[in-house]
Amino acid sequence: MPDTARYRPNSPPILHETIDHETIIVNLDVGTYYSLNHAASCIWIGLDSGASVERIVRHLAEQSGTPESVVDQGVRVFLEQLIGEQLVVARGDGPELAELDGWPEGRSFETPALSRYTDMQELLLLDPVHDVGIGGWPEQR
Amino acid sequence: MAGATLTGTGRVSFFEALERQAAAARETHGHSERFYQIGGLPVRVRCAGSDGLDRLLTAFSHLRAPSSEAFSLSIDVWAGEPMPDRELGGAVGIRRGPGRGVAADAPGWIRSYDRALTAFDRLRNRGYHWVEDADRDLWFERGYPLRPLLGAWVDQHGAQLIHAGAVGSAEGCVLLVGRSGSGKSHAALACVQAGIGYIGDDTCLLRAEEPPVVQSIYSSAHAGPATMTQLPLLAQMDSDPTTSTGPQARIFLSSHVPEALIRRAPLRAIAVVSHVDRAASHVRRASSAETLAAFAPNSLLPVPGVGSGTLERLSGVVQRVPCVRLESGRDPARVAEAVGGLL
Repeated sequence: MPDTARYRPNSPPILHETIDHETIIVNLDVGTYYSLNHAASCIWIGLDSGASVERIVRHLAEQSGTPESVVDQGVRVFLEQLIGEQLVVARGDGPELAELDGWPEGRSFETPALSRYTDMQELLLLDPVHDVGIGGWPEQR
Repeated sequence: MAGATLTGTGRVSFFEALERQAAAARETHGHSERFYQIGGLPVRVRCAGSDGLDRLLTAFSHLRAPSSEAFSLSIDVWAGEPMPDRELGGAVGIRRGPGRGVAADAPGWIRSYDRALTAFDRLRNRGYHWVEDADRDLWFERGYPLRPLLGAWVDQHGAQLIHAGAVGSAEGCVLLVGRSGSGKSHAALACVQAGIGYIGDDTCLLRAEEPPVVQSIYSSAHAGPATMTQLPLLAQMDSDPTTSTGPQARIFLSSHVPEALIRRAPLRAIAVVSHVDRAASHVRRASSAETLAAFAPNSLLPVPGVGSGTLERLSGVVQRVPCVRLESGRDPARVAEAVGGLL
């Protein structure tokens, strides 16, 4: 993928919240939910804020003192997971984010990790729900 | 299967059709009408027909309110004839899996099974719940009736239906959160055994006020065999055995210890519950994120139409109150003691 590629959360149907550098993500359509470790949360926040992949890699490498090649590998593997899980989509053109933060200077880089939970999914896959439109039901989706 | 839209003069307002069917059921079978205060708001429920439908409402009995001309939500429940239009249902098919999500601003939604249908008309605050056979098709939901419908409705009124238990007193309460099977019900009932007030064991309402407030919605609780054995108070409280499901007993506390029921309390702490295989219980600090993850997904996912605002409100709450891990041991008295220490 190109270095200048940018992505955003696939909302809707994705909901997400970050507290103290821990992120939870809920996919309302599929019924899966996820938790992200600190490194993964930083990447997620960066993507949500409009930063390019390259920019995120550079920031994490600088702040953690880790070679860019190492950080780049971790970020791209994680990004492939996000894309595979349909948690992010390509972002259109727009201003590049001015400043990134979220990774404490000097803290060692860790492998970004995405934990996936499917305990609600089976319940929801059995659950037939669909919208009613202004004109009534059925409504073509 | 994709949905289909009726075009031109064939376009039908499904909710108008449901309203006519509910009215026809009331006229044919006669009906009962009850009023409740749910989330502090007046709700009218009309049941057309059999006693089986009235039994559906046992879990709300502690929230009965006087009749009122003004209500925030009206729900019609009926069984058998007239059935919601199955031809429409056949034309549309039923969407499962991807694409299930309901837009937060959709005017309504339908949840349709082979023998049951629930619908929420968001614009007119009307709910509809139909089953093919009241005795056969409603017994399993007597413990937590009408949950998706009420969850969608309260979300419009600044409250969230959450997958959590809660215990305490009118001066303050503790939320007990965790996945199904984590021990929330056991901890809640252990507290009742010890004289602590009961708000719920599995489902409550949460308002993100200052301080946050927890409100009761169901007076029911479910207890497994181990809990029934360990808590003598429950031995006389089993529900009608023909309606208890599987290895769990369904108990309606409003019928046995109504004085223990707390309708509303400010939130003092949130405890992420887990079983541990030892007698003692311990409380340890938990992060806000861990706590949010322990109940937000399983609170949001079953309720059609929730949006990002709901998750944001829950996030705000967990960051405003102490969050702990409750390692719930085998001794129920010590579970209650650990929870009581948080009040």
